[in-house]
Amino acid sequence: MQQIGLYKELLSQVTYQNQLLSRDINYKQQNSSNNVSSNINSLSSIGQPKYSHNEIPFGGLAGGMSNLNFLGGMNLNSWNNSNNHNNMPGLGFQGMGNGLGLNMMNSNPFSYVDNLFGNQVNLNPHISQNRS
Amino acid sequence: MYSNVMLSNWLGSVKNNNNVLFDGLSNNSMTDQLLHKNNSDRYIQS
Repeated sequence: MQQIGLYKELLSQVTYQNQLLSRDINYKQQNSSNNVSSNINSLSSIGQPKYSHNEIPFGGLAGGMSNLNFLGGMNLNSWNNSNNHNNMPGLGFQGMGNGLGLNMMNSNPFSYVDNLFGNQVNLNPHISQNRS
Repeated sequence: MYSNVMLSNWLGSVKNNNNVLFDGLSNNSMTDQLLHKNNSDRYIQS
């Protein structure tokens, strides 16, 4: 008879142990998901422009082309237009060469031009493609 | 079939484990504490 009581108590203690473990797991999962969401929030701020438009050094994200023109001492736009003889409008610098190398018309440093299709691929969704 | 001694030792071990688990939980309310005390003392009282 005492043995049955021991079995019952053992069963109830093991059940209680499961409840404690479940609480512990839930608490840790909540903490874990909170950390993940806060990390996502931190990540989402990466790539956000830290300068206002007027504070960007060297023209930075949006004004890069005009500063390149000034610093280089030549008008890259006119040079590009005069050398673009391949009748491939819209390709800019890339159209005159072998399609490799820098795309000088791309003022968005977080993007690149797909050499195969010629379209601009934006790596930073926070920066609009049409800011040049 | 387990002997009574073995079952008692097993029960004591599970209870100790439950105490450690409960102490490790940081967000225990007053109700949780009462429930835990009830669980810990139940077999001793009976």
